[in-house]
Amino acid sequence: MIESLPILQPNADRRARTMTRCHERLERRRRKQARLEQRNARGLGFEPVVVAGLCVLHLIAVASDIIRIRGMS
Amino acid sequence: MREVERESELELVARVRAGEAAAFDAIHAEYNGRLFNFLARLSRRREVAEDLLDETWLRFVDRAHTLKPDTRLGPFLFTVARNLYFSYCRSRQLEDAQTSDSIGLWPLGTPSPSPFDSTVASETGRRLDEAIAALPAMYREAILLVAFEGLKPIDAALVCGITPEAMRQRISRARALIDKHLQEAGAGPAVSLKAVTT
Repeated sequence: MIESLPILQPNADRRARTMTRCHERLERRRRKQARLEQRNARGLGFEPVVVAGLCVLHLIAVASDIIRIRGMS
Repeated sequence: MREVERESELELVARVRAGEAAAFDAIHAEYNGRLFNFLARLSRRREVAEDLLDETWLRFVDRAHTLKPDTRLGPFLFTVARNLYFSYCRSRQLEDAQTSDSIGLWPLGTPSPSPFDSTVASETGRRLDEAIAALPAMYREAILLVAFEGLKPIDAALVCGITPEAMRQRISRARALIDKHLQEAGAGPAVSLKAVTT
């Protein structure tokens, strides 16, 4: 008997509007996610180079200090 | 088959988490009508059901990226819809004020009845709809989820935030109330729900 319950249909225009809004939100989120990933990827390539450069500068400074101190004594 | 197969469901969840519109469309096609019928009969008002349906989908896409990979879409969507309905009731304090004779699912004075309208007008369907509309909300949602939407009692219990045993009791009680309502209306014995309540 439960099958005799009529199937109700939602309004087709509203359905289309809602789907459009949902698509827009999904697209917005996708773009945001892509931007974040891009930024992260760029960051990962740039940061190690800077850190390595600073390390090299520090080592050069330490080495020159050592040479200067040994040269003085 | 009403339930999305589990394997393809997991795939759809993964795709919609990634923001794929086609995956959303597939989920929408599967559940939009079912959610609308659930909300329309739960709220007993077409306009309210339409609003809540829109909100359900918008919430779904907003949360899509946070879905767990093993999310079961049916219980998830019906939970969102149900929670929105009860939030709506709380905000409007409507539930107590509503009566079964205020069913507003179908506009009056439709110019030319379609085959759908004719079905709607069928005596059995109308009486059953009235009987369901007359149920208290907690029994109404139980019978709609299990008998009409085909959710397993354990899933329906999850949607309503109760134990499966409590859900079985609610379905049984709802069935008895529908029987009583239909017998009083002279429609004979009612809903054959034994298969879903055992």
